[in-house]
Amino acid sequence: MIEVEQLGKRYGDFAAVTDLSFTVGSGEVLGLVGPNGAGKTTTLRCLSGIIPPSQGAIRICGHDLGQAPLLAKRELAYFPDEPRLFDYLTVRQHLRFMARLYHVPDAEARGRQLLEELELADKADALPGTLSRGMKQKLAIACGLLHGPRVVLFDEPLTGLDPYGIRRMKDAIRRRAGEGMAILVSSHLLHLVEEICSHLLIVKQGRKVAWGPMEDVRRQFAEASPDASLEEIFFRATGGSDGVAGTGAGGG
Amino acid sequence: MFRTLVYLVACQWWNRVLSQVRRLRQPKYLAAAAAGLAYFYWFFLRNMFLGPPGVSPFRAAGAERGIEWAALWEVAGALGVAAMVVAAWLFPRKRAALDFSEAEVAFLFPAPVGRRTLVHYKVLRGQLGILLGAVLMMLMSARSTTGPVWVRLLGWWTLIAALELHRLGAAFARTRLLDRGMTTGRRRLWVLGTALVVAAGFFAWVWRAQVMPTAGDWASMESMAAYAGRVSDSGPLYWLLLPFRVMVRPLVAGSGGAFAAAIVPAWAVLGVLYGWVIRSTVAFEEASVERAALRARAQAAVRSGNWQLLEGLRPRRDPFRLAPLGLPEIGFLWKNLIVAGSTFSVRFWVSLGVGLVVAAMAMKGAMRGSAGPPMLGMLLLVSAVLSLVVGPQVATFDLRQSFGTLEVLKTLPVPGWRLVLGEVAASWVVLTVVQWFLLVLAAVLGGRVPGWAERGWLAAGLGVGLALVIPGLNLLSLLIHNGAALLFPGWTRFGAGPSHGFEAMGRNLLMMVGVIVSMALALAVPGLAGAAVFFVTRGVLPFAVVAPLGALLALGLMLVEAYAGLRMLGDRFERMDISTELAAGGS
Repeated sequence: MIEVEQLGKRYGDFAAVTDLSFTVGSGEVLGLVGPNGAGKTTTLRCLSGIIPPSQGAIRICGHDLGQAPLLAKRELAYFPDEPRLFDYLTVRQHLRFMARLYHVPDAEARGRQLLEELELADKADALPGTLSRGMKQKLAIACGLLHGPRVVLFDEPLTGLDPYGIRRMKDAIRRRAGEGMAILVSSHLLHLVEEICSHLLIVKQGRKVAWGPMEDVRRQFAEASPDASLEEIFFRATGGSDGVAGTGAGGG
Repeated sequence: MFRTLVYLVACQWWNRVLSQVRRLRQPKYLAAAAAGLAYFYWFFLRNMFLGPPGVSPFRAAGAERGIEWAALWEVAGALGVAAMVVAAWLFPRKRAALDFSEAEVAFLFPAPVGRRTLVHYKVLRGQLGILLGAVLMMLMSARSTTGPVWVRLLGWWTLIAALELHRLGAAFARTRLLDRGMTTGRRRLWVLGTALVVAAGFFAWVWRAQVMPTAGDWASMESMAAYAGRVSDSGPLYWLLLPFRVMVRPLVAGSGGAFAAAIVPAWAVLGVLYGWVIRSTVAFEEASVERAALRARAQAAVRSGNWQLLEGLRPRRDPFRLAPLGLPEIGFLWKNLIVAGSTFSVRFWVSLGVGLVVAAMAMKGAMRGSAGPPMLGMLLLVSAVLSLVVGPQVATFDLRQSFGTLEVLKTLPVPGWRLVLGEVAASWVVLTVVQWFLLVLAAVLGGRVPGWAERGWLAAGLGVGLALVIPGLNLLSLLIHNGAALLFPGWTRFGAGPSHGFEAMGRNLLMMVGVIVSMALALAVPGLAGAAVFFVTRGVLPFAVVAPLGALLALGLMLVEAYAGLRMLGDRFERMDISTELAAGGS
């Protein structure tokens, strides 16, 4: 569903992402982790079509993002760490606008269902300015899920959510993956990644350090302690390396 | 501690200057700074330092008649300062709040820094702004004041700094009064009452001392000036205005010697005000935090171009029912009509249109033979034509207001050119409808303009022709304005790179020139083609037909150009790397 081949992104002389390759299949949840400045957000922005990559290819559900961006974008939803909403549109108007752009025929019913599911139904006529951070996040999610994407990209999905919201978000991610979506979650919260992700991609200084099924990566870096936590693995994977691409458990 | 705060001010100022200077390595910022400097030199510096001293014609005429301008300016200035002082006690309602940024609030308020030190810091921090204000006032008043440049600069600085200190001191005093139970209403009554008593006392003196103006005093400018001088230099008015005249006097000093004599008492007043402010601090933290948040919101609103955010928003009704299937452009039109506000709903415009046309017809019928309705019609016609120039700059509910959500727009499955078309559609429709509306009203009210009645068909033809080209003109103009924002995001206020001083001045100048040149180029071919059709066919076809015919051809060509422009801008939008364009203020 997500295929990334030798992705690279440069800002002048600075390489934010270098030679990054990985895939995410249907029903998989890939956790993208790395220290600050590792290139996680840049990778997500390239995958969502917000910024053009400097090199490499990205395919979403078989559609090349560079060659057929519209077909690729129809299949994906991207949720940035800070929800970007239209100040003047109410919750309901946001959904109507998105329905038109993504051609969602049964938008009213789907929208109503999403608002119910995300507990936003009583805020349908509220403007984003009057919503809490968590509710804004929910509205962004409702907008993104309205057209039934097959690929979902999350950047720090738990930021600003209360404990109830966190639990619901985790359940929602698992459920969508169970329905066959390919999900990529970028987060610094390693316990979240450990809990919900089936696969792991560790990046450092824009390069891949490890990638593969969670257990394979764990095995690769666990050394003498097979029950090492993801936190320990993360520090071993990123602390010992000097930014040179590792072979990764899954190759690529 | 105070030295640390001085360090903070100095670092912030120096880094800001450095970042501005570093930007000049990019040609577009260098060009903007050069244009700004050239403009500044041409209109201000050239006359100030290199040319003969500028004297306004009014001032020259007065000098010829022997009017003592310096003394009159001093009195007029003192009256103005007195009015500002009274206003500072009369109008404000809120508690004292100092202008801190959100970062200053976050770092300084929880730090072990005393209130007095914070006030010191604010007074110090304000000096740069006051100095810039003084330079600006010095430049603006170059032709109406005399004396060397440094005298005027120091004079303005002294006056503005004193007013600022007084504003702060008055705010502290008002807050203290509030804390002691004096409501705003009661305070205003006291201030107004005192002002009335003083004014009554002055008029009583004028009456009793028999210094009421006579017919002779009103006879000429010289006699009026002499009377004003006489009254202000004697009696109670002299003493009342003395503290204010002391502050204005350095400004009107004609020489270094006169300035030296005038500045000592002015600085003494400044010192008294400073002591008053420093010794009378009150709890300003809570109101300052609120003001910092408000300021941050205002800056964000200005940056995004969404001025309405300043007032706080209310949900707005859908302008029309948006079906989930159909052209995406209509979706953007729908969204931006909501941004434009409830004023732009279809129902509102149809009701207003019908109502005003009926009212105009009734007015014309009632005032048959009068020149009023045709004149009003002409005024509306001129407004319609003027709005072709001003409208696209003002109606910014398009891409220019969507820069804050660019990241969302980039993820949408809509081709770039259709997204740009959709984004400009609301401004385009609104402007066109308003201008057509003005034309219809002008047509209803007009028709009896001298010289045009007998050429009715020509007028009608030209009117229809204008109505036909209006959509094309608006679309091209909007595309140029939106194109400027897309091509040079760092140059528009919507970009992330803030500009100041000469660079901002030059940038605006260059943008204006760029828009005018682009529009002239875009209109050259359609204009020539339309005119050619008009002149070739006017001998063959009736006037009522030739103008619309030419206009139709011009409109067609404009739409072709607009399509080409849309494709170009759409391509630009799709390739735009917002992470570098907006974060770095453009590349």
